[in-house]
This record gives sequence, C-alpha cells and structure tokens, in this order.
Amino acid sequence: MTAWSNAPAGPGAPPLLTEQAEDIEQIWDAFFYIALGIGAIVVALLGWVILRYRHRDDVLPVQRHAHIPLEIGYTVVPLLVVVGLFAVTFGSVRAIDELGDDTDLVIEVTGFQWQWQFEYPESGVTVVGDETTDAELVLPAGASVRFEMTSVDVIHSFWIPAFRFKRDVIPGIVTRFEVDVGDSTGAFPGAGVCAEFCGLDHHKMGFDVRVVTADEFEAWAAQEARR
Amino acid sequence: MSTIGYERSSLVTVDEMIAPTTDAPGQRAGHGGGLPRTLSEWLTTTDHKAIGVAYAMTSMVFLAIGGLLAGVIRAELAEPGLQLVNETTYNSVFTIHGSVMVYLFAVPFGFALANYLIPLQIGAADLAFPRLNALSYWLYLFGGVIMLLGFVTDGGAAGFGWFAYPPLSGASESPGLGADLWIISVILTGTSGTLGAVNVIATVTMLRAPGMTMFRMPILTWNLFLTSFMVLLAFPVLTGALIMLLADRQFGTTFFDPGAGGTPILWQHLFWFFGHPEVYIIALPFFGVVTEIIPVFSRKPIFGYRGLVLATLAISALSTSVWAHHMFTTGQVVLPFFAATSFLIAVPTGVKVFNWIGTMWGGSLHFEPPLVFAIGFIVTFVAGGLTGVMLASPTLDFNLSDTYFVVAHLHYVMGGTVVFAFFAAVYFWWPKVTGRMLGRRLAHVQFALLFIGFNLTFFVMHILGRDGMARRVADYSPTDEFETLNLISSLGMLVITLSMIPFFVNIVRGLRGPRDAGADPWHANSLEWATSSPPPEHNFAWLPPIRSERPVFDLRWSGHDDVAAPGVATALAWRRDESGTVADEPSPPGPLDDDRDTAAHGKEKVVERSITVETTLWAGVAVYFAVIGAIYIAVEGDPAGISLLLLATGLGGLVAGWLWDFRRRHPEPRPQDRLDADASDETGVVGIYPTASVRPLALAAGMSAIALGVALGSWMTIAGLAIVASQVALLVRDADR
Amino acid sequence: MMVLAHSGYDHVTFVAIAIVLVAGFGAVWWRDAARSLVRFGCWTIAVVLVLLASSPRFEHLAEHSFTGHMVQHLVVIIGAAPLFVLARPLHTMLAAGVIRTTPFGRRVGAAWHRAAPLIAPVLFLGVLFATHLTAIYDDALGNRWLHEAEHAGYLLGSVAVWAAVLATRKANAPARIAAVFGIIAGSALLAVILMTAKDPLVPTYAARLGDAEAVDDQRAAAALMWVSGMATTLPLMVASVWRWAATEDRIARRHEALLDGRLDSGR
Repeated sequence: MTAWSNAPAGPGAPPLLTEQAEDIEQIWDAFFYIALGIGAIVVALLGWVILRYRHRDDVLPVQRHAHIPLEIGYTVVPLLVVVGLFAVTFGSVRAIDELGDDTDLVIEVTGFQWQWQFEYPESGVTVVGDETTDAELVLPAGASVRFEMTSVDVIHSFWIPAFRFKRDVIPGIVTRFEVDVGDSTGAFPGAGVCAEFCGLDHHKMGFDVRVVTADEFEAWAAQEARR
Repeated sequence: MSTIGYERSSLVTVDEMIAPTTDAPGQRAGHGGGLPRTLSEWLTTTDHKAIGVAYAMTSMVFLAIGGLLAGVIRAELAEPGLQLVNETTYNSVFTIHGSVMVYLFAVPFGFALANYLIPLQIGAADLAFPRLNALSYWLYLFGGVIMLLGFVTDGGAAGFGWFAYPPLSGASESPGLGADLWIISVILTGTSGTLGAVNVIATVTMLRAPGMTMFRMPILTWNLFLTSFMVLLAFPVLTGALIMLLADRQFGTTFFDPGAGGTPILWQHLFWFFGHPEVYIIALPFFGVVTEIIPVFSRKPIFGYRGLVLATLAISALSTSVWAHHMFTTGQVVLPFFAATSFLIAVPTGVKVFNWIGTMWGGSLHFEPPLVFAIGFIVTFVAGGLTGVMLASPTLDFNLSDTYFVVAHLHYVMGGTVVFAFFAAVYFWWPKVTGRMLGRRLAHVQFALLFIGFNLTFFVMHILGRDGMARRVADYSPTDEFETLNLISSLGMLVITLSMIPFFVNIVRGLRGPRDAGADPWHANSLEWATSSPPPEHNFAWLPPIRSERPVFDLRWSGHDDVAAPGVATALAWRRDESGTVADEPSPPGPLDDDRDTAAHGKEKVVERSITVETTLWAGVAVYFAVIGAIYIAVEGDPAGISLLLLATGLGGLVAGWLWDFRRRHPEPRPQDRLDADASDETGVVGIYPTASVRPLALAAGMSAIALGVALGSWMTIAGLAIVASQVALLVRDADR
Repeated sequence: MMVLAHSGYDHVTFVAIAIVLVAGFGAVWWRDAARSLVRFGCWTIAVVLVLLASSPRFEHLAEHSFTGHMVQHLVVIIGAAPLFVLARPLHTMLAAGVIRTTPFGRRVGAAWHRAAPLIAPVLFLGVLFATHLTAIYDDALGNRWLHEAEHAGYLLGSVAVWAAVLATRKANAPARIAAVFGIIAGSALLAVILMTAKDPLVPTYAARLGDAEAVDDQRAAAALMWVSGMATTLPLMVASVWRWAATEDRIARRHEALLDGRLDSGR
C-alpha cells in the first residue's frame, strides 16, 4: 500500500471524493457531536457523584428504591434521541443505496486473491493488478458511476475511504452501488483497500484511484482499449 | 425512609447470626469449605462451588493465553514490516486470540459466576442437575484444549478469523487440520454452554428458597437467567452452522459453496444470528456483577430494580433481532429494519447506566476495589456503547465496518465488561470463595495502570479506522502514516501487561493471607453473604428470612424497622426458641390458593409433575420424528435419512417408555428425591443425584472423541460412541436402583 | 393453471354471515347482566377484520403479490384472532345462560387449560409450515374455497395460541412462556427460510411478476411477517415473564403477612 500523495499532511481522515461522501461526512459529524455530548453528560454525572457522595461518615443514606417519573424520563429521552438518529439515517441510506436509471459509467469489479480487476465494458478496457503492481481505478470527474462487483474465490470487500463507503464482494452474487464522483481531480495512490479478511495477502490487496477530467478519461480509455 | 445513624454496636453482624448454627452438633456445615483437595476429587466433583472455581480458573488461563496472543499482535503491528511472525502465523494468532477471548474466556467466566453464585444467591444447595453441570465443564475444557491443539498441527491453528466466513473457511481455502479442530472445539464448547443454560433455567425456576420470589432475586441471578434463554436460542444455531461447515469440509456437502447451489451469505446469517446474542450473553452477566457491587458500596439499594429487570428483558428480546447489522456491507439485508432494532437496543442499555448512576447518587461511596473497577466499567462501556450507536447507522457503518473503528468499538464494550467488570467480580467475591481479603492499594495501582493502558491501546484505533486502516491486516505500509498511532497502541498494550503485575502479587499474597474475611466483609446485600466464607457443603446451615431483594442487609438492620424490610424482626423472633438456637422459618401451611405458579411451596408436587412433563416431552420428540420420518419417506426416501429418523424416533420412544415405567414403579417421591436444601439431613445426598461421579468426565471424553473422530478418523468416533453408550447405560442403572 | 374465481356473490354471503355473527353475539351478550362494551367491541372488530381479509379487494391484492397475501394473513392472525379471544365468547355465553357447565365440559376445560401451551403452538406452527412450504399456498390462490379454508386454519391456530397465552389464567406460567418462545422460534424459522430462498417458492407470483421481482417480493413478505411477528410476540413474552413474577410476589407477600400474624392481607 502506498501513501496518500494528496492527503493532508500527517495522518488524518481521507479526502471526500464523491457527493455521497460529503453527505455521509455530515452525518458522521452529527453523530459524533451527539455522542460526544451524551458521553460528556454521563462522565459529568459520574464525576459529580464520585466527588460529592464519597463517604464521610457512617450515616446510612436515604434508601431510595426508585423514582418512576425520573426513570420514565431517562427511558423516553434516549428513545427520542435514537428515533431522531434513525430518521436522519433512513433518509441518507436510501440516497446512498439506491441505483439510478441512467448512470454515466458502469465498471465491473472482480476481486480475487489478492488483487483487483476493473473492467469498463462500454470502453472495452480491463485493468488487472498483480503481486508487484496495484490495480488503478480511473474515474471521470463529475460523472455518476455504477460498480457491479463479484468475487471469484472468497469474500473480499471493496473499500475506498475517500468514498466513505465499502461494499462486500461475494462469490456467486453481484453486489452493486453507485456514486456521483466529485469535481476535484488527482491521483490517490493506495486509496483503495480490501476490507474483508481474505487470506494470506489480504493486507496487500490495495488499489490506486485516479480521478481525471472527462476528456482525459476518454483519452485514457481509448489508449487502454488498444492494448 | 429516614436517615438514621449507622451505629456499629447496635448492628447485627452476619457472623454472629450464623455462628450458633455452624457449631450445632449433627450439622454437616464445616469451616474450610467443600472445595476438593485431591485430584480424583476434582475429577469427580459435582459440587457447583468446585465447578464454579474450575470454570473461573480455566477461563483465567485462557484469558492469559488470549492476552499473550494479543501481545503478539500488538508487537507485530507496532511498526511497519513483518518483524515477528509471517502472515500465516499472524492470521492464526488473531483468529485464536478472538476465539479464545470470546468462546473460552468471556462466556465461560459468565458460567463460573452462574455456577458459583446462583445457588448461593437463591438459597439452594446446588444447581438443579449437578452431574450435567460437571459435564458442561469437562466439555468446555476439552473443547478449549482442542482449539489450541491446532497450533501444533502442520498447517497451524485456524487462520480465518473468529467468525470463520466461508469460502475462506472451506476445504479448499483452509485445508489444514487446525481449521477442523477449531470447528470441533466450538461445537463442543457450544454444547457445553447449551447444557449449562438448561441447568441455570431449571435451577432458577425450581430451586429458589421460600420467600425468594422472582422480584427478590439479585439482578445478577436475573441476568444469568435471561442470558440462559439467549444461549438456548443462539448456541444451537451456531452448532448447526458449524456442523454444516464441517460437513462442507469433510463430507462434500455444498451449503456455503456458491458454485454448487449454496451461498456464503447463509453462513453469515446463521453465524450472526448467534453472534449478536453472543455479545449480550457475554455482557449481561457482567452487567449483573456491577449491579451487585454498586449498591453495596453506595450503601443504598439498587435504583429502579424493576426497571432494570424490564431493561434486561428488553435487551434479551431485542438482541435476537439485530444480527444483520454485521452484514450491512453485503447489501443483501433489509437495512431499515435492522438499523431500527440496533438503535432501539441502545435504549435499555442506557437505562441501566442511569440506574447505576442513580444508585450512587445520594449514597455513601466507599471506593473499595470492586467499586473502582465498576466505575471503570461504566466509563469504558458507555464509550463503546456510543460508538455502537454510530455503527447502528448503515450510512456510517458502510465506511466503518471491518476497520479498526470496529476493533475499537468491540474492545471498548468487551473491555468494559470482560476486563473491568471481570476484575470487579474477582475482587468482590474473592473473600467469599477463599475466606481471605485482597489488598486494596495494589488493586488501585492495577486499576490506574489498566485504565490508562486500556485507553491508550484502544482509543487510537477509532482514529485509525477513520483514517483507512482495515481490520485483520498483518502489516501496513510506512507511507500509510498509521505508524504513530499503532506505536501508541502497542505501548498501551505494554502498560496493560504491566498492570497485571500488581494483580498477580495481590493474588499470591491473597492466597497466603489469614482466613479472616468472615461471612460478610463488605456489608453486602444478597444471600451468599449469609453463610460462612468459604461456604460449607450444601451452602447454608440456616437461611435468614427473605423479605426483600436484600436479605442480608435486612438481617444486619433487623432491629431497625424503618430500614429493613417489614417483618424481618418478627420472622427472626418466630424462630428463636428458648434454647436460643435459631431455626428455619416454618414452612407454609399449604398452598394459599389454587395458583401453582410459585415454586415457593409444594416441592413434592414439583418432583412428580416434572417426571410427567419429561415423559410427555420425550414422547413428543418420538412422535415428532415419526411424523417427519413419514413425510420424509413419502417425499425423499433415501435409506440413510430414513434410518436416522427411525433411530431418533426409537430413541425418543425408548426414553419416554423408561421414564413412564420409572414413574410407575416409584409413585411416591423417595426421601432422597427432596429438592430442599437441608444440610442437617444425614443421608448426605441432595436430590437424587450423587455429589461425586465420574460419569460427567467420561461422557465428556466420549463426546469429544465422537466429534474429533470427524477430523481424525472414524475409529475415534466409534470409540467415543462406545464410551458414551456405556456411560449412559451406567447412568440408567444408577438411577433405577 | 390459475382461475380467478371470485365474484360479488361470494362476498355477499360473507357479509351476511358476518352480520349474523355480530347480531348473534350481541343477543347473547345483551343477556349477560355484567356485560362489558369492550367485549362486544372486540368481537365486532374481529368479525369486521375477517370480513375485510376475505373481501375481493384483499383477494386481488393477495393474488398479485406475496407481500399483499402476507398482509391479508396478518390481519387475521394478529388482528382478528386476539380480539376474538378477548371478546371471551365462552364466558359470555356461560354468563348469559346460553350454555351450561357439564362435568364433561369441565374436564375438557381443565384438560385444555393444562395442555394448551403445548397444543396451541404445535397446531399453529403446523398450519403455518404446512401452508407455506407445500403446494397449498399456490393452490389456494386459484381456488377460493381452499383459500378460505386456509384462512380458517390460520384463524383456528392463532385463536388457539392467543387463548393459550391470554385466556388460561391458571395454567403453568413457565409453560406459557415456553409456548410464546416456541412461537417466536418457529415463525422466525419460517421467515428465515422465506427470506433466504434464492428462487420464488410460489409459482403464481413467479409467473405474474417475473423471477427476480418475485424473489424481492418474497423477501419483503418474509420481512413483514417477521417484523409483525416479533412486534407481537416479544412484548407478549416480556409481559408473560413479568406477570409470572408479579403473581409470585403477590402470593409471597400475602403468605408472609399471615405468618407475621397481621390481619390485613392487602399491602
């Protein structure tokens, strides 16, 4: 696996290469801050309890067994929170998971132990990786791309952190997803990872991603097809 | 309830209460407890305390092994490049690390708690089926050893991850013997767990002492009870799936082979249908542990007892409907449903956390080691729970699944429970089991090191997952820039290892210290603190009156009517006769009304009815197989299948017939068929089951041989069948005398 | 292969039967001095639901998709059946003096109370599996009377289960809990079978919708069945366990109050 040449300096969350990735990242932010808030409340309560109620004398405290309104309260409020989180999720899942009617590009992905094969049926191009060279996934900026994927041996998983998305690649089944590639172009070596343990060289089953303009894509496809 | 002074001199101590009973002549209770001393006693014991200790010791050995393997993982991942092990070994290391921790440490320690504590907490003399209990233990031990034997085989131990996804776990991808041994081992430990669950359910339903209603049981017992239902639902599914996998590997079936009509997705559904309840099976007993500890050290009752019971019921029920959130990334499952249930299950868990905090609120906190570790548990578990809510959303899970973010999440929830709550349990019940106290300062040092080390190791993994590091990778490239965080994580592991040193020192000192803990060193609440430390054979020489969920608290405060449960002082006064000895509460005059729902009285009826129920069930099994057999003959008709079904029908009918005949020959319950815990009885047996028997060990060996034979050769299976058949015959002969 | 055999004539018969049932129950119920409006309401709504489930609209829905058919069945099993049980028809008839208790009747009643938690789930699950996994499901789509018989089977089975759970107060509580548990396991198994099947199981839908969409439809039907099943049985399970524990508690407290020599038994 190789470095993010376009990554921010130092380790950090990968860039966002698709429109879906940007939406997902917003939802991540929402969840993150809500989780932080709830965690802070619980830690604060614990901290308060530890400081305020440490034993100072031998007086037996008031033996309170229950407080029904309070208990109902701290059941209903979390329930409302998760219902809200579910509502937020539900809308976004449909947007991510649905397949459109007219996609600009279809790429057929085949996972095998331990590299990838990318076929562009409309252009007649096939890109295959091997032990020394990772496969390179070339995408046209601003286009909608559908991935149709299967495996020829064990279960793998096609993960591009910059898409904030992965989908498993399963033998005997064709799994699919669609993205709308963003406008920023660039080369992203090592942007793709196999995320389902698939045996010996699972950790070497990465691939590169390159986003190019539509014209550059046409040129590349024509050149690759001639090979 | 008013606040009153906690005058030590006016409080009764439990030791004073039970002293006259343990010294009375003719009592079998003795100091020094009933733990076996010689090897042959250990091999044949059926005493739940001995088996509980055996489970605990064995699971701690497996914890050490799992920890060692984790050390190898972190040492390897500290820097890029393969320094320590090659890929094959690494894959086996993380597979066995996960398997050992989940199957051989976490669940069995829960059974250790169940074994040791349930009879003590409900006032029984032993579990309902002591020999079955011993069988469960031996199956667990043999299963565990078999899993580790994989390391000495040619191809090494299983290396396909603890969830063993086919096709990777199939015959062509993982041809080694280690893989088959792994499968067989989990089949055996799964069977062990299922049998243990049966035992727990029977015990809690039938053997509670008079006055110990369900709503007065300690929450730990409730949790173990409901966990057992989940085990009954989940473990057989895993066992079935494993048998299918073994059949695919050994007998050429194609359940999971996509090229021949099967599908790997089926395995995932079956495995996770087990796998998700499994994590709650692991967690719930530890929730129970914490629920026992916090009230004791806050000097208050548990806040919202019935709310906690309801929350546990909700968790148990919901846990069976969330499994496919482990399969979101396959795109093959109904996303909204499983997302909804996964979100929902966070609510009762959150309620529990608030109940624990509510218990401490307004209390008088004593920061003894159990409470300190319990607080560590709350913090760690809440962190894990929050990331769990994130993962419940498919939107986020698509990115985070199968990355180090999930590794972080699972270790935080597991760490909270199986690490911090585990130590809390050890510190809390050590005095009861051994009669000795453990050091306080060493425990605090251990806690500090463990808390720091734990967070160092696992917090950074959240970031690693977000940065793009996938799970189960033996190595990563220097240009990935995962190096710093991985190094921090590995250093954290060093700190965790360091934290074990004060623990070991504490244990060693604790084993040699003076035996002066007394019955109730912590001023605790539940019934196990009402007997000596360690408890005598058959547990109780005398039971205090049980009028609330805190019988021992009520006992200590029996002179204060506004703090203790009502009627405790009256009940105690009832029992004292002129000689000053304290007798047991008089048994009820008869059933109060027709309602036989309560197990608090009518034990003779229970024994009679149970044989009728058993006979009916076995007859039902025979009828069921006969009907299936008839349909099968009509539809398929292959001789092997027909023979198996006829065999099953015949066996069921045979057992039903024998039970019916047994009942006919023994219409009255024999004196030794009583289910009461009465230590003053001279016959020396509890119920119809002996206190020492070699049958469980032999049966476990036979069953293990049957299973092993699938991988090692049919001669072993045949030998195993012979052993099992002979033991069953001997069991029948013993029962029928 | 498939003959759509429904007509307005059949439905008029059903409506007539429904009116007779409601009126009949009403007449009996009226004679009960302590009549409860709730019981009459339950009965009426239950009859209306069954009527709805056999209406031509629903039949059409059922013939066109597995999911629609599932909705039709769920209306009967989860809608009508519990309401029939809650209407307590036997009690009402007894209280109205329409039927009398006989020694034989008492023995049958006692046997039912004892054995219901075992018989009812077996009956219900038997009907469920037999109709879903054999040709009955498909044949019923072509034959109106077979379809009604199928529904009658569901009604009978589910009424038995609901009665075993809701209306046998003196039965062994653990047995009742085990019965609910058994229903959960059995119906979940069926749902899993339907959900994971790779091919359509019902030829009628395969012919109508095409194989791919029929499988999707099948999965949706399985999900619906499973979700409604769980939404019904899980709370039932929780409620059964709770009730068992609460009853036990109540009895223990009364016993202790007696032991303590106190005269007031209500605490």
